[in-house]
Amino acid sequence: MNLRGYLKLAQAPFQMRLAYRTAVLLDCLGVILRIYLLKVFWTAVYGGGGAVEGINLPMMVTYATLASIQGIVTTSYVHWGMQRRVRDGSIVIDLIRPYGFLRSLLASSVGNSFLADGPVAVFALAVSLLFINLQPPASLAAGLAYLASLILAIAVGFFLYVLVGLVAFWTLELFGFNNIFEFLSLFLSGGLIPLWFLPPWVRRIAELLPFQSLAHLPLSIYIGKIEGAAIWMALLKQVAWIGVLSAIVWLIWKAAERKVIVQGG
Amino acid sequence: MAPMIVAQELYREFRTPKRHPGFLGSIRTLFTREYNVVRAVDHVSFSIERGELVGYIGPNGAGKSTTIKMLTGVLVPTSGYVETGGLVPHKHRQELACRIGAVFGQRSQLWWDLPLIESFRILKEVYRVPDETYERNMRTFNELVGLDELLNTPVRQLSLGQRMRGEMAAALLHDPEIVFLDEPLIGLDVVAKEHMRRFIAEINRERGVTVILASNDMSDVEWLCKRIIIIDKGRILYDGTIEELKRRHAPYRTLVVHFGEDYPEIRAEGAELVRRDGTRAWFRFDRTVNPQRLIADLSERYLITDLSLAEPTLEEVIRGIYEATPTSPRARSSRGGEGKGEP
Repeated sequence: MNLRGYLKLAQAPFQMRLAYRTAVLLDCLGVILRIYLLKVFWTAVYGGGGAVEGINLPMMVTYATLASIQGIVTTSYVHWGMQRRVRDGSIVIDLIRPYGFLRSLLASSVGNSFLADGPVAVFALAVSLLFINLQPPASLAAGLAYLASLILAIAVGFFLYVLVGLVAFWTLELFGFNNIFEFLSLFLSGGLIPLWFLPPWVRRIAELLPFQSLAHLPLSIYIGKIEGAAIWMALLKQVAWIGVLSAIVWLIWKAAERKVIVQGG
Repeated sequence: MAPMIVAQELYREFRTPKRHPGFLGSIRTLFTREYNVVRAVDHVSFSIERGELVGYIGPNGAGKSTTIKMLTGVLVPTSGYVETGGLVPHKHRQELACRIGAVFGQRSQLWWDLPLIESFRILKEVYRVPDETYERNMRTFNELVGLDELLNTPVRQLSLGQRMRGEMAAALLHDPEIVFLDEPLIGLDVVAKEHMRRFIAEINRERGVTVILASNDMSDVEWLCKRIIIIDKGRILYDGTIEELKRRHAPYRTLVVHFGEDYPEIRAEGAELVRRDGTRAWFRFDRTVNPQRLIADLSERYLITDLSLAEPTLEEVIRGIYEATPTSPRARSSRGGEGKGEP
């Protein structure tokens, strides 16, 4: 299929989102509430003290706020769509279409992140700029590197969620697996609590897993916790994870496809 | 010209782990590798020419969907040969995708949350349908089944009948050469069924689209299909014309009469009283007997309050076929063609 087809597929999530305007409104309120509560939390934790691990309170609040905002676009729901297709058998519809299944998921996920979630994130950012003392990026280079790292984070997120979704081809349901995944992702990505606050052994585990690509790496670049040549290392790590995860996803998808069309289940 | 669809000794089995009953049994199930083998499609052979409209009839679980999945390439046969449009479907699935259309009655191919028109706009790009073709098709579909009034309604708000009109249009938007319709009429009311029948007949007649119409109700396809293939328990029981089938395996019809009084004895010229229940009576009569004469004869002598004419059900026809053929059904179902329904 041509690019126009995939672009059209990418638009659908945006249109669907518009169909549920109340949900969008609640999304916006939810993220604002989260940003506010995290600000209150970190202010209480710091309690007028100075910098911890080189990070002072305004930097910490900036980290937490951006984590909440970028979480909107790095979190994907692609796996729930996959579960539905497997459970109700509509995967058959995807298989008789002239497109690649993974590519069609990528298209709708890109559409989701940029067209459907993007506006919510921009809104949350605008509100945060008004009411929270957001720090600018550590430097211009850090700001640009952050944007690059954020795009890579969205890609890592996509592959991770597709990986979760592929489990449905064998288990038919994802709740249990998804809970474990969400829990690991929440703690090991640094999206809720920065990794430097965690015990060293947890940090070492996080180093070995792809989750830190989702939040820790881009946000650390932004606030200057990762700087200089280490920025390149961070971006390289993300790219490497995209390579590894996409290969794993492709292999497992081939097995899933074989399972559907050969075993018929 | 080569046939559009060829199935030769097509066989598909499903293996499900053998379940042992009870708690200990379920633990045993976890550790054993015994399987139940279900023969979903059991050495089926037929061939379908370009432009044919074939009814693929069988009770639920007979193997209709499994066959269609193999013909569209979303299921690999366990053994046997299958060819659709000159391609082996599961090896050329995406190539074939542009040339076929499908409606799976129970599964929607439309975008649930979006107005119907959006599904067509998306599919237009997905299948690279040229603007003129898109315009022409949308116009035709509208003339046939009145799509325009539905276009701005989100799919989830459409009634089943309305949604099926949309599903049909979606399957035909890219001018496929072959369409597979798997139970497209299921659950539809009379009016909606009529809409769908007209749609199917039109695209077959006017555009020469080859249509495979799977249904569990023979009367649904009676007015559409000259040729029907009956499948039961994975095996083909009959492949031929409907007239032939009726003549051979369903030679009788039933007239159900509701009498105004409880007559002690009831007779009818040319019909056999097969059942009585108070003032109601069932008469079986040969297809060659004109029901008008039968009714006239009855109403001359009795007071009649209600009448209805019953065609044999698919189950009765299938029973009739089994009864007429003491040999194994597999022996009879070798190749396609007309009137292969006898030993």
